This record gives sequence, C-alpha cells and structure tokens, in this order.
Amino acid sequence: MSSLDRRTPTPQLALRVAAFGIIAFGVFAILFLRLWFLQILQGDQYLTEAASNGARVVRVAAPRGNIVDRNRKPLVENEVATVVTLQADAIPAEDRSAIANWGQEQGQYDVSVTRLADQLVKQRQDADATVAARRTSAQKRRLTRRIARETPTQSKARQERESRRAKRYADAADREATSRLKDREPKPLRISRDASPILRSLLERMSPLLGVSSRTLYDRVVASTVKLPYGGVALKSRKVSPGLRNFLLERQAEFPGITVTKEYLRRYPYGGLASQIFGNVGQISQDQLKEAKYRGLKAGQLIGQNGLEYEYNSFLQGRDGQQMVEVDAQGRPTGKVSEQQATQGNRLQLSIDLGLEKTGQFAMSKFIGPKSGDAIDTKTNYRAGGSYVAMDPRNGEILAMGSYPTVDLNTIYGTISTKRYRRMVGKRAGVPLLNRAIQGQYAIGSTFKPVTALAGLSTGVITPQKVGPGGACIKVGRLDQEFCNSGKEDLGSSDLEGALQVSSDVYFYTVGAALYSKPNKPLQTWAGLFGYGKDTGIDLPGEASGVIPDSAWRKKRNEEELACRKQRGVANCGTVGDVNGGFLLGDNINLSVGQGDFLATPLQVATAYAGLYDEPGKPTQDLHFPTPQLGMQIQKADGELRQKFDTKGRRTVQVGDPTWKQHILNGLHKVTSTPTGTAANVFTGWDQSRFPVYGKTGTAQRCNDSLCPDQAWFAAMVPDAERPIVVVATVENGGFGTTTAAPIVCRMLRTWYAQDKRTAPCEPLKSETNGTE
Amino acid sequence: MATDRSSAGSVGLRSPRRRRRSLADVVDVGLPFDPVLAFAAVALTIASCMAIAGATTGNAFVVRQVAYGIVGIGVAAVVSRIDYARWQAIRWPLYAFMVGSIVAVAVLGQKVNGSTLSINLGFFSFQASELGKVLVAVVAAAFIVDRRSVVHTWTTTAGVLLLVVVPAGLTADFGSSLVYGAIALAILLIGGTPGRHLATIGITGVVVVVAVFGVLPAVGAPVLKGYQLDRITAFLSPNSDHKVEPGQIDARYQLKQAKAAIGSGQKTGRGNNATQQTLGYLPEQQTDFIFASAGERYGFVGVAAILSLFALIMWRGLRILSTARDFYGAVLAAGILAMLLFQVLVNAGMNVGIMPITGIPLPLVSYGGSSVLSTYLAIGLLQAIYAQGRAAARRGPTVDRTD
Repeated sequence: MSSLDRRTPTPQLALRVAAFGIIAFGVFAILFLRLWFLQILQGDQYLTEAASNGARVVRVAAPRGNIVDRNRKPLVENEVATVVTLQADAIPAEDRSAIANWGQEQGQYDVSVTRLADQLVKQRQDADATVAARRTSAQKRRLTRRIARETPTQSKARQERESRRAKRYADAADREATSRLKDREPKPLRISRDASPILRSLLERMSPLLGVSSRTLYDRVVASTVKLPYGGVALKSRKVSPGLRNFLLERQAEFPGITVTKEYLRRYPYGGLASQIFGNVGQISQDQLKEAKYRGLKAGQLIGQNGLEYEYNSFLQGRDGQQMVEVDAQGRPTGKVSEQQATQGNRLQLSIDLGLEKTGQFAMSKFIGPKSGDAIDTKTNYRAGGSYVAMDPRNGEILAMGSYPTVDLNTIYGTISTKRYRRMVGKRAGVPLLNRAIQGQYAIGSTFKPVTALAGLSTGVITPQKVGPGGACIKVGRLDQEFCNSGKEDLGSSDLEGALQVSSDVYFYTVGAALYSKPNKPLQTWAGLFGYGKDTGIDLPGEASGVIPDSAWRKKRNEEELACRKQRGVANCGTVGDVNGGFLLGDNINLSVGQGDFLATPLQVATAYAGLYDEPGKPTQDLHFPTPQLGMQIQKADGELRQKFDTKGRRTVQVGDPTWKQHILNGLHKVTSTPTGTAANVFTGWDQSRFPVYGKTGTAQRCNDSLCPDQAWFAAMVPDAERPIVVVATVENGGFGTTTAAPIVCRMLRTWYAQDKRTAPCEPLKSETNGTE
Repeated sequence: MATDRSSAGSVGLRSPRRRRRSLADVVDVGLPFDPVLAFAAVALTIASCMAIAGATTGNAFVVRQVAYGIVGIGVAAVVSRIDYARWQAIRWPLYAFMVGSIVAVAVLGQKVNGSTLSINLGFFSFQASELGKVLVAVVAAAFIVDRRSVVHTWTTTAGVLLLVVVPAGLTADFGSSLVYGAIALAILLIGGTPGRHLATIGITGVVVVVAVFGVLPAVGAPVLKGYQLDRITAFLSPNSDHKVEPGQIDARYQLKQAKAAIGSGQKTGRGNNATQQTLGYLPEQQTDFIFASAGERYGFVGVAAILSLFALIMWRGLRILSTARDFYGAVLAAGILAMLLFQVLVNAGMNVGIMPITGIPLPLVSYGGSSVLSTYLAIGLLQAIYAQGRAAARRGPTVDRTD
C-alpha cells in the first residue's frame, strides 16, 4: 500500500457518499410518488382504460402449401375467400348448451333409425331365406342348373336384378324406419324458438347484410357448433363483397364477435380424384391444442386432420401472421400497432402420377360407378366399392392410389348441411372417405398363391416339376371335407407353373393341407415374410395391418369372445363360431388360397408382388420388398427444394433355391400371355415382348354358397428397365378377377406405357369358358 | 494458516518449496455475510417468479427463472467468499475478456429487436453486455484506485471514461451503454475526481444529448436507429401522429399500455382479473415490462414492496461502501450500486411513464438468465466487500485501512 493511503475517510469522501445516498433517495422518492399518483389517485381512470382496451389482434391466415404430383401438376391448391365469422366466444352459453343437447338427441335418433332400418332389411332377407329353405330338393337342383346354364349376360342381368331389389329393400326400410320413429325425432332448432335473444338479434341484423335469411344463418351456427363446439362459425364464406367487408370492419362495436378475415380454403382441381389420401383440413380441436407438436398454434387455426394433410402438416402448415390494430372506444381502427407477415407453407410433391391416377379412377367408375348404375353390393346393401394401387417396385414410390366410391372434396369440405354431409359420406354412400387401399381388409383369393407356392417349395412339399392332383375337388381329413375349384371345374393336373397359370385351387389345397402338419407353420411364416399381417409403413395415418390366421390368433379370438360374453352378459357375441375351436386343417387349406380368416389390404398385395421384381437381365434368387411411400419432396412455393424424403431400403428375404422364384414368375407370366391363362383374354394384343406382364387373378368368396358376388382381384408386375410398375386392383362385388379387376389393371398399364387402345383393348372376357379363377 | 498443506507424503524433504495454491486458499467459508442484503436479493427473486407466473401462460418461463435464481444465488455465495482484491489483481485479463465477449456477440450473435445482444450457447442465450456491466465496474474501480495519487489529473478521468466508452460503444444496446455511463460517473464521484471534472462531464453530456436529438437529425446526420428515435419521440410526445415500421411495436402504444396496466392495479391489484398482459396488450410482459405486469396484478402494495427491497439493497450497499476494508472496495461498491440504481430508475421509470423506453431490465425481477446471473454476481461482490470489511474490523486497527 502506498504512502498516500488515507487512514480515515476524508470529509470529502463522506460528502460524496452522502451525495450518492441523496441521489438514491431521490430516485426512490420519485418512483414512489409516481406510483402513488398512477395507482392510487388515477387508478380508476386507468382501470376503465384497461377494461376497454383499445387494441385488437387480427390473425392473418397463411395459405397452406400446395400438394403436387410427380410432374408437379397441382392436386391440392388454395382458394382465397373472404369469410365472415362468428367467433366462438360470442355465442352465448345458453345457445351453446341448447345446440349441444339437440346434437346429442339428433345423433341418438339417427343411430336408432339406422338400426331399425338394418333390422327391417334383415327381416326381408330372412323371409327370402325361409322361402329358399322351403324349396324342395328338386326345386333347388333345378335352380342350380339354371344358374349354371346362364350366359354371362344373363348372369349379369340376374345380379343387377338382385342388386336393384336390395336397393329397393333398403330404401323401403329407410322410409319405414323414419315413419315409425317420427315421434322420436327431435324438432329442428328454429331461430324464433330456440335462439337466445342476444344471438337472435345479432343474426337478424346480420341477415340483410349478408343476404342470407336469419334461419339459414342460425342453421349454420347449429351445424358448425355440433361439429366443432369451440370453433368459430363461418356465416358466409363465398361472395363477400369488399364493400360489406369494409362496412363490417368499421362497425365492430355494433356486431360483437363478428370478424371478417381472409382465409384460404382448400381447392381440389380434380374433385373426387384420390380424395381419400389427402385428408381434410379443419380447425384445431381443444385436445390437439394441448399436444406438443401443435405448440404455438391458437384456437381457430387450421391444421391437417387426417391423410397427407395430417402426416405432412408440419411442412404444409404456413406461419400465420398477425396484425395488432389500435381501436378507439367505438371499435374503429385508429392505427396499426404491429404487423407480422403470413408465410405460405411448403409445397409437398407426391410420387403420384396424375395420368395414371385418372385412368384408375375412370376404370373404377366404369365398372362399379355411375357407368354401371352405381351398383349396390348385395352383401352389405351399401354402395359397392373397390380400390387400386400402383407402385414402383424399385423403391416403393406410390404411382397411383385410389379408392372407390369417391366424393368431390370441393363439395363436402364446403358449406353443406350436416344432414347432406352425412348422406354423402355415410355407409349407404359406400363410405367414400375410407381409403380402401390401406384400410380395406379383404380376403385376397388366388393372388395369395405365390406365398403358398414358396412355402411349399421351401419345405419340400412340392417341387417345381411335381405334377399336382387333377379333378374338381379333393377330400381331406377324417370327415372327408370337400374342397373344390371355383365352379367345381376340373382344371386337370399340372405342375407349379401350370397351376398358377390356370389358378388350380386343388393344387394349392393339397399344398396347404401338407403344410398344416409341418413344424413352424411355414404358410403363415411365408405370408409374414411377404409383408402380410403387418403395416407396410406407408406415410399415411390409419393403416390396417390385416390378419394371418394361425392357432395363436384363433386362441386369442376365442378368449376375446369369452371376455365379450362375460362383459356384456350375453350368451353369444357372435365373433367366432365355436369358442373351443382351434385352427384346423381346413382353415390352413382355406388360407392356402387366400380365403378363410386371412385379411390383407390392396397395398399389402402390391408390396408383396413388388417383392418379386428383378431388374431385367439381372435375375436374383431373393425377394426384395420396398416400403411404400407417397411423399417425395418438400419444396418452397416457387419449387426450390427444401427437403427430400429418401425411400427406405428394400427388405430382402432369402429364398433357398435360385430357380424357385423364376418358376413362380414364369407361371405368373403365363397367366397373361398364354391362351389358357386366366387373364389372357384381357391382355389380348398386349405387347408382351416389350412389356411382359406378370399377373395373377383372384376371386375371393365373401359369402358362403355364392349368395353374393365374389370379390375380384388382379395383381400385375411389369419389370420394365426404365419404368417398372406393380399394379393391384380389387372390386368388392366384381365377381371373377378377370372380368373387372384385370381390365382396370390393364388400362392402367396401358396408360403407363402409352400403349394404343386399338392394340390393347383391355376388354373383359365375353365368354365364361376359361375364366374360372 | 501457516500449515503447509502441500507437504503430505513428503516427510524428510527439507528444501523449502513453493506453497501450492488450493481452492481453500481462495474461498474462505468462515467469512461473515450481510443477512439483510441476502434477504432482499432472494426476496426479489421470489417476487420475480410470482410476477412472471402471473404474466405468462404455462410454466416455461417461471421454471427457467427459478433455475436462473438458484444458479445466481450459488454464484453470489461463491463470489462473496473470495477476497475481491483478487479481481483487482486480474483487472486487465478481465477487461480483455469483457471486450472480447462483447465483440464476439456483435459478430456471431442473434438479432433481437434490431440489436445484436446475445449469443446462443445452446442451453443458454448469453448477453455479454449484462456481464460487462459488473466487469466494467471492477476494472474501472481498479484503474482509478491505481492512480489515486494523480486522481486530480484529466488523464485519470479520461482513462476511466475511455475504459467505459470502449465496451459501451461496442455493444449494440443503447440502454446498456447508458448503464455503463452511470457506473463510470459513480466511480469518478467516489474515486475522488475533482468537482470541476464532474461538472465538465455533465455539461458535455447535455450538449451531446441536444446534438443527437435536436441538431444532428436536423442537418441530416441521424445517429440513433429508427426504433430508438421512435421510442424517444414517443416518450416526448405520446399523442402525436405516428407510423410504425413493419416488425416493430409502436412505442407510444407500449407506454400507454404499461401505464394503463400499472394504473389499473390500484391499491391491491387486480389479481387474476389482470388481463393486460395475458391478452397480449402489454408487450414484453416478462422482461422489460414485468414491473407494469406486477403492478397490474399486485397493485401498489406489490410494486411498492419490490421498490422497497431495492431501497433496502441501496441502504445496505451504502453501509458496505462506508465500512469497506480499503478504498478499492468502496469504489467498487459505488460502481455496483450505481449500476443497480440506474437500472431500477430507468426500468421502473419507463414502466410508469417517466422515462423513455430502453431495453434495460429490472435487476433480478425481469426474466432473463444473463441479467439475473450478472446481478447476483454484483450482489456477491457487495457481500465480499462486506465480509472483508467485517473481517478487517475484527482483526483490529493494525490492519492497513486504505480508504
């Protein structure tokens, strides 16, 4: 320490510390006084100012990203609309509860009507069944002979007759049920009777402005509140003039809770095309607001609710902007406080090919749509459905995916009444929003046979050259249970390739019977290896995984049935025939031809056939199963690449012998290329040398004793060097695979390879001589 | 303390050896501390958590503020056990670190509200200018104490000002620069700078302010950024016509909303009826305008309590200043107190509408890790000065008292 150290504080330092203290005291004194002034003396004034706070936050909606096909043609776009909205918090609580109660009653009523109608239909069917049961055996024989003698035209006419009759039954049952339950129908809400005075006066003042009657406005409030209790109600979303917009914006105080915003509505240039994969966009729900992935979103914002809009929501979702506007006591905007621009979401490029998709859709509508009289499926009494999938076998890119019936999304996502919406997407309309390609679980019939073949080969039950039994039926087991070819036709004995070519059930029944006693259930194992029984992993929500029945599965079903009986206290829940039954020999034989309890989706079938693909000229002995994928790229709105979704690697399954796959492929090629092949006539004229088609028909029985039309299947794989493709189509009431499903597939292939319609007519067979299975 | 701690296992070695330093030499746990000062700081942190909980939805901000508070208290506890003379000894490395970190933030940092203030360290967004406030006090106080014998020369005064102007100029935050200036003034005042120097600085300051706001923009050489000018004109003429740049919030609107929020709190606050912040009317409700937010929710009672706690800190600080062991302790305490006082004045003043809007946080109360940690560092230094002063007084008058 230096000599200049001061031992005691100098008077000068003490003075300066005192000065510092005085400044500090002054600062606190000023702050306290100011607080006193603000909070105690002027507090009331500021309280009113805060209560009538003069600022309004206006959300500026951001457009979602477009969805385009692989050639960047738009599939989903946006359309700008000025929307007059009644905000949710402006609906009085009494109206809200009244509407909620009514919605509940109406729902109960709808359910009871549907149930009664179904009962009535069932009564009619039972009556028909009793009539049929009362026939003498001679009558029965005569009937069977008559049906067997029918020409295809007669057969089709008969089926149409039955279909029409079923439609008549259903309509009559609907009318009957509605009239019987008339007194239980809740009265529709009327604005004059049920609306609260506040809501009524608001809507009555809005009515002349919007040019919509107050009754209709109230109906819109009801419809929207029933669907989404805490969402805003779009009172008018089309043709809102700029004058009206300004008028409403300037008179905020007179119309509490009414906002006018620019919204972006989804528009679908192709209406009903592939409408099941896109999914809809809807206001975020209360539960979704709590989810982590929607953090930062506010009530009223739109998010993808299912399909691709849901799966890729984080990319498609734009960032909403917001404007903070200062308003005076009358609610007139006086200045903009802050502004954040809205940014559009990113564009999603799909692997879908628009042309191929259109072909599939058109072919579907030709066979089961309006062009064939919107056929009613006599099994379900609802509109018949079908599905198609096209895939690139090299990487799993989905080239086309569709489900039928379909519905114009522009219509059902617009402002339509609840009733009309229900009618358009309901069961009777064939559930058009169900994506049958990934959610429809069906027996797949003979398209399963390659699995049985490989299971048989790998266990040594058969060899490629071994000739199987001929005849129309085989008898197995101690009970001499009989399993027959379709139509009890004798297809002769043949080797493996021949059995695939003519689709001999008897051949594969024998294999299935032999595999039943083998260890490690080879048939089920191979079905699993082909990808059945589990999700394919496509980038769409809600995929169904299908069923591969085995003894463990059967046991589980039995336990579920018992649990159900116990829980509901009934004698029989009816889910299984015999709770003590196991997985029997007959079940395995049914499985060998893709019947019985086996269920798979069209996409699973497509993936299974994609596994057979080899690059031309480089045959391998293994199977390679791709993972299907729809999304290819995320791009900015101007097309600049943001993110590329690489396809997942193919799953390889080793096959024991190099010739096995080749024999199966030969058999599949013969299906379309040799005159006796089951799909040969459809592919008449097809350029097999340039584009060899490896196909398989399938005809899945859905009812016992052919009481309803069979389900048609066709799967095809074309191992082209540049543009290989796998196409699968199914028609729920299509009958033989070669009459409906194969022509659909053929048309899609024709589009894909730009073939001429004259050389490849893709017409279903005219005579029934060789199209049995 | 004469035992040789480093000789374990070396019996038989006679040669004198250098004593190895251990952590126990640096940190002396047995020192006394000022419980009133500690209470005030912890109480402010609790008040802060309550205010932030009321001002924000969800608990993300509160949880982080509690974490910052706990870490801050730890920092203060450690720093208070270290003799502050050690900081005096390493003043130049500290200064280099401070300037380096401010430059690093300016170059690598992220932009917020038109200024580059912080650098993202992954777990924490570090604001170098906040830490710089404490470090500049440490360095400037050391500098003026070094030159005690020539404190009356202009060289000394200019040196202190230069030390402060370099980081103040480098940081892009105008508010922080003002805090640096206040620290420098307090250090000069307590450090013994002649009165005429202080008077000259004061007059120069007034001239600069007039030039920046009046003359230079008029001749076409604006010094301030658009938003800064906007805030000051908003303060000077709250009812005039205005336009807003995109991305910016209107300053007049902020002032008006803050006043409305505080005023509507009245005596005991609106409690859960407080809507100004939760409805988004009050911007920056957990940082710059936390005082207004607390004022609305807890009323005069609440904010008066917060101000009283700051007054408590000032009172204890002035006591610590006058009982410091040496002159350096007194000057450092003055710098720290000036930092706290100025920030309280400007932040609370802006909230109640008597100061223009600047991005200065309310120490310990505003949400923000850098600010909380730096303020606790300052509190720790005050405690260290207290502890050393008390220890010296206990040892008796033989110890060289250097004030």
